[in-house]
Amino acid sequence: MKPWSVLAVWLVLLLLLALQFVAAGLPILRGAVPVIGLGMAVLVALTFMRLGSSRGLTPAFALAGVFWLCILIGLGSLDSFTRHDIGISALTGAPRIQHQSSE
Amino acid sequence: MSAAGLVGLDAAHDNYLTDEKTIGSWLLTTDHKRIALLYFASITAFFFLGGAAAALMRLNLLTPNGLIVDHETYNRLFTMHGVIMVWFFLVPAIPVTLGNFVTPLMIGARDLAFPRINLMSWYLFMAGGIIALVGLFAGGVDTGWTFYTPLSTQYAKGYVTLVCCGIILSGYSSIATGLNFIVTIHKLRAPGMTWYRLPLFLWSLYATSVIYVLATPVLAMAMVLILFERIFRVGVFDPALGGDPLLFQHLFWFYSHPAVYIMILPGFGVVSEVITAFSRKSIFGYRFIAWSSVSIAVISFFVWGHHMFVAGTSLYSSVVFSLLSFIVAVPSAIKVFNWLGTLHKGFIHFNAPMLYALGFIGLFTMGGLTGLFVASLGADVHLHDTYFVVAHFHYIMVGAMVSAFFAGLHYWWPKITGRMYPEVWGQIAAVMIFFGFNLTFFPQFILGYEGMPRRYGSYAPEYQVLNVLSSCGSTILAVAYLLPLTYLTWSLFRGASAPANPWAATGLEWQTQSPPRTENFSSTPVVTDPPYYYPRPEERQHV
Amino acid sequence: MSSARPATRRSRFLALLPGLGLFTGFLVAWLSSTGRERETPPMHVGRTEARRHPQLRTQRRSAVLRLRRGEPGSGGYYGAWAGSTDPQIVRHIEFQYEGMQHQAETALSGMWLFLTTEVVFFGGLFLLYMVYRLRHLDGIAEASRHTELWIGTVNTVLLLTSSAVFSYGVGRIKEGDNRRLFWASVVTVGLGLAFLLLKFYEWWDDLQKNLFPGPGFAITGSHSGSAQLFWSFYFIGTGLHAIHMIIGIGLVAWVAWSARRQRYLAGWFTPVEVVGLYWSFVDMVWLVLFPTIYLVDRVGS
Repeated sequence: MKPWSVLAVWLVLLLLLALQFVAAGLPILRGAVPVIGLGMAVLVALTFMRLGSSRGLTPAFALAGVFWLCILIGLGSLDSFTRHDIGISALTGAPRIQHQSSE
Repeated sequence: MSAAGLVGLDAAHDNYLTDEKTIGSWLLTTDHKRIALLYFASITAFFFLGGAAAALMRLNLLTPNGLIVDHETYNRLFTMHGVIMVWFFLVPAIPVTLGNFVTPLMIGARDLAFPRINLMSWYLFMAGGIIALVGLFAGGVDTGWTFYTPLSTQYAKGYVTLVCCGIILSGYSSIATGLNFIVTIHKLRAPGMTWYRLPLFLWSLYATSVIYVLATPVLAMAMVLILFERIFRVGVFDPALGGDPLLFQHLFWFYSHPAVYIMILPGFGVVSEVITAFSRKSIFGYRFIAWSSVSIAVISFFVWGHHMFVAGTSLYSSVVFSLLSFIVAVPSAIKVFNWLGTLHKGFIHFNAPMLYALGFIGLFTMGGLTGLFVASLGADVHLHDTYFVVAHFHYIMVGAMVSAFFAGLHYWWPKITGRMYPEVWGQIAAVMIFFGFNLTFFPQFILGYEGMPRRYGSYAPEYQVLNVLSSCGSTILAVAYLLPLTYLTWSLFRGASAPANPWAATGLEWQTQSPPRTENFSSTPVVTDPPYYYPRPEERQHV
Repeated sequence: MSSARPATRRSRFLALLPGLGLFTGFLVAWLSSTGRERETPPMHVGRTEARRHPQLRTQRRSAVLRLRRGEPGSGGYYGAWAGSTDPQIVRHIEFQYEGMQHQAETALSGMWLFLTTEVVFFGGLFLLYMVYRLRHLDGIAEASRHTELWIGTVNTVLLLTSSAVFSYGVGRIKEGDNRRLFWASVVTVGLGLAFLLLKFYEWWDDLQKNLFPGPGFAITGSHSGSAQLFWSFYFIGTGLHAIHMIIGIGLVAWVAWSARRQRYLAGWFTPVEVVGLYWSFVDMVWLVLFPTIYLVDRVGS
């Protein structure tokens, strides 16, 4: 990368960081915070790691990583998000729901 | 004694065994063939260690009250058996021994892409193995190889931390190996070696490597979390804090289900090679088998929830996982049908590798079909944690996989050592293994169906007959496993010298001398033939 | 030592991390450098040339012997290797590769594959966090407010800068400028060390405030359990990240040391690129870790 491009990307990243702070402060934009974080990570990958200018095997591996991460998190959380029992809340004394409602 | 003396070659045949003979040249080698042999020694040692644990278990189960050990010790025995056999034998087995040796030869390369990483992976494997063995022998672990929380993190008294550290190291060893294979197969193929000219062994090794690389890190994280809980006495999965023990199972099985495909896929590859070579016939449906390996690797990541049907997962996710588990059986079935199609009108030779491969087909079919039983939600409620599951996975891991390992070992033995093994003994061992195996594990299907739980050191008296049958079978199996150890070692000293291509098989590895020279080929091969270019049945000329 | 401090074996374990990480970094660097250097680079002597010029025959024979022994960099014999025959570059080509382009591409794609494994590794931890956050939002939100935002922010800026600086260095060595690469690596190491120092200070501060989960945990009440879950995630996540940082610092320091010795060339700087990928990846992990820990739940709804 040319030195000026490095500087430009660095400035954009700092800008995104500031944007993240703004979003974190506004409850309505809270969901955008991790998205901006992911965006910054992707920007680093595309520029500093030269993923944007690579061809062939490298982007294939990078995409595969993203795909498998989605499977891990998506399919992995499927059970937790569709279960109806909630963990023991020892301090409130709330009873644990014993069975799942049948679908 | 020198390696040259072992192989008994004259000086005219310079090869990878004779080129350098110091200990240092072996322990610091970057030659994939020598690393394969280093691995082979380690794998064999672990196999017999894990087998010894199994022998003690089967001995204990001769009587309803447990014959030789108490329950605590029995728990440690089956954990030791599982940990050693899964992580230190089956997961590495074919890729690190046969795969390491044969992959560059099959693609016409001089070595793997990253030879030093290859050596590092052996050292990681040994380090992990030794650490795990220290833990297992110093007092053992009683959690089972699955390390479910909160038993492993809060209640187990034992060397969980040590064994988990060992597993993490061996996990990184397999990640390194998988990485090496993937990059090698992509980048180091000889001119003319297109993807569709690759031997099917490499397609399945590629699929195995994809799983190595993508599943093992999740195991590493699961182990790290156990370590954190144990070392710092902090509950990450503790329900009292709001944690979820099932999350551990999700992370664990996200790896461990694809892991079982790590264990079987290379076996598929070996069987494809052996069946074609000993039917003197091109494989039936090359692309179907090739792509079925890849699709098994991908779909295997979607099915892990079937280990947790009765653990408390939601019904919705269980249905999804059950459906996906049925789907993953389809590519395997495609392979079986294609192998049968290859055998049809083949000119069959019943050499030892072929006997093992035929045994594989039968035993794998049984194991695979019984997997569908446990993939069904209703049946699994009855069968989960019984001996039915034990029989199911042993049919695949031992019946199929170990048979495939021996098939590949015998098939490539002449190439690796430059010696022929005694054919008759090979055939005797293959048949003995088949019968011993079935006697050991078929009764376990019935036991499980009738309700005998797994991981129990004692059982109700009505199960005794079948247990005794099973233990007798395991004795035959043990003797049968010692047979190859004996005659293969014998062949190193007294076996007949092997030609470059004793089986008249296709494939680049057979176009170079046995054993190969260090740089594999005297000049870069150029590939123009399709894979398995045996004459068609109608074109065969019988002598 | 106040009675509220957690057990000392935790601190001992945490103290082990830097040593382990540095050791690993140097081990990796050493492993990748053994065997590369050759005193007299063998010249490419083809078969026809040897036949025509008998005096070259010995040279070819010794090149063959080196190749047969599997010595890396002894290539050039089989003529399948097009591209640079500059001996300075050729001696870095291992014998299983066709040429420098082939080797460099392979090394980079191998590194990307390794980074893919790291993505899945950290992904498992994020799965854990996501599930717990969904179930115990209030507890986790409250717990995250006890993090030191200024340290996290400064650290983010430090890492972003270090990633930019090293990327600049990689750009410089493409022009053959070892000196600028050296200084870029030194600055990167400095920024990384500053990050770690701040991190260690932050951990010490967290331990002082009894934020390590366990008996005596600072946050009590109905959200104590889920707060402890958050802080477990915090220590595991930042701890693993710190280990990767330490290894990365070791690697970048090794690059600095090699650049000082003018080891890299405009035609060969693969180790620098590979280390750059690793370092930027460590940065990427932090860029996802930072908002998760420090920002997302800070301002209550």
